Amino acid sequence: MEQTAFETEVDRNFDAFEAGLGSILGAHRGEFALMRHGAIVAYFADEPDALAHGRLRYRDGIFSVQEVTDRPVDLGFFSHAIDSRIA
Amino acid sequence: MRSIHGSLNQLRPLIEVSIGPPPGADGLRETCLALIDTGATRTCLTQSLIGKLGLEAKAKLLVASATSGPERRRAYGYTLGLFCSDENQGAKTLYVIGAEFVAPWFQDNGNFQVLLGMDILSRGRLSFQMGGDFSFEFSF
Repeated sequence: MEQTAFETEVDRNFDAFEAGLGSILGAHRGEFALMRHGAIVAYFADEPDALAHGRLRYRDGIFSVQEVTDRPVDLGFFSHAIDSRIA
Repeated sequence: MRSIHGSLNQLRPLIEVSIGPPPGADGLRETCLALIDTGATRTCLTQSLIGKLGLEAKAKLLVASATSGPERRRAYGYTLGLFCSDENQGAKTLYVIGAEFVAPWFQDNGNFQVLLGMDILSRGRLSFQMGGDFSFEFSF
């Protein structure tokens, strides 16, 4: 499937975010970075706030938001419950 | 404070939710089945639901699960609607939370299209009663 402009932006921003994570963790751990074209534009305390500012600031929707963390998101057990159908 | 109520289905807390595009965006909303999953730190949506609604990628997350090691997954912006109980009339009303959240994808399966994780649940009060009824109160 063809990659969308949103996915391309997310991938580019994530690569830049990972590369620079070590230098921002100390000051911004747990915050949410609003990113555009591979650069961090601003930090927010709450993810919906970061997304809302991104929507207001970039009408084309080309931006992403990354939580400043070095820990993986735990999706638990059921994210791999493939077809244990409930009767 | 709004609330939703349900009963366990084979000991699983399943509810109907409405998933749709970010606030102000045009697009489909889909009513689908969600599992309340306190073992998931993030709400996630099936791949087919994300594709059907045409949601925009808005983040990339390092994710892990009980059965797999860390991997990088895109996450998509969405709004969540909950079918709230009206204590006076006994009817249910759809309330769409006016904030955008992001959710990574998980595999399509025959059980549910949404895992309602702690990113949402921690914003309200989830409680279970003896006999299998449960409720979730929130004030988004």
